[in-house]
Amino acid sequence: MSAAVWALFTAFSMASLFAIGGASALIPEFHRQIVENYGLMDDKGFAHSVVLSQLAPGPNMLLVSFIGWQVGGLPGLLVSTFAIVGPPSALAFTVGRVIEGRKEAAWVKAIKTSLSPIVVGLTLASGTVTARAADHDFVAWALTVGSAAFMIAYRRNPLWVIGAGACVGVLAYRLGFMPGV
Amino acid sequence: MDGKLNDPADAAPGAKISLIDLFTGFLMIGLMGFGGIAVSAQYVMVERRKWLTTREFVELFGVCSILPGGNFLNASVMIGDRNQGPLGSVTCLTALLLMPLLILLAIAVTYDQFSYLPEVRAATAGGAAAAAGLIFATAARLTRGVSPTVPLIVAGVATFVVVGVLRWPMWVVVVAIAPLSIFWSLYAARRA
Repeated sequence: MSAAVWALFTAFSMASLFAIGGASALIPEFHRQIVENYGLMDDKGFAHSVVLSQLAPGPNMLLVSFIGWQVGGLPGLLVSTFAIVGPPSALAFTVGRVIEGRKEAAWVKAIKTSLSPIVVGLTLASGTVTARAADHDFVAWALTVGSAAFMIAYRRNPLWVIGAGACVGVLAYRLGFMPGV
Repeated sequence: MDGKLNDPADAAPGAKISLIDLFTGFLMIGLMGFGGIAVSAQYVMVERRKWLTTREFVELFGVCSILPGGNFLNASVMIGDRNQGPLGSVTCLTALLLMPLLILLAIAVTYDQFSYLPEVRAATAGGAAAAAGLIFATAARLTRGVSPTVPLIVAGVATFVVVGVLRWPMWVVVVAIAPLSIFWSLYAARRA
């Protein structure tokens, strides 16, 4: 492994067990390690990586994979992904075995029930944060409200709804309704 | 309608999900996860494939959300192990990451050629606005998996306010809201 790829492995595997709430909470720490400490990327490249990784679907851990790709190509990508995903996965594997092995125990049931509303709160929070970032004009607000109403009433593949949103965006732009773009 | 759709009796109890089903399921979840995986995970696991009921879904992801790492990555490890052991965990994790990684690399390669086009920015903006709506709809649907008791409602609202309104970091939920919710529920259960 090259020195840069080894640095990626060290930085990401050390940070991985502190990634409570996913990678987004760790962006300042990644910046400190990758840009300031190891000098693997400059500020502009780092900011660009953050923006691009948010465009793709999937877990926000992808930012780490993408930084790995920018710094060290395919080996960098694989090593970075393994470093950030490995330690928390080993922990999740162990915790999963414990709660599955004692799933009839009162304390396991109590913990699972008590943590369930946190998921609803987090999902609602994620909707709010996404809407705040995305909804700059009337068209975008209408799209958010419309897609929420559609998905509550019908259960269609979410990809269609996002595709329809993208088409409405282009149409609105062509008609001059999307000044935010 | 929802009660019937989520009836635990629909899924054969105790039946293991095969490796290939796990792989294709998590591949779909990753592929459709624009704007966050909650929407596509709920759609695939609960509604399309009926791997979990809404209640099982929120309970699993509750535990995974307070562990370090991506909550859906953690859940993929647990679901994989539960059905196919360690190989299942690796399969689910790989499948979940594969499509988003390929799409991200495709975006990275083409972004500079297309990002200046206003149509591309309009499409991205429209897609992101629609994605936000899908997340709200998913949150509404997930409320059905939570028993409407006072401690749980307080914990859900507090989580939303702390993370969504105040924008405090997630560890506040882990060290404060999660333990309080557990203790309050245990206390309420003992008194009842």
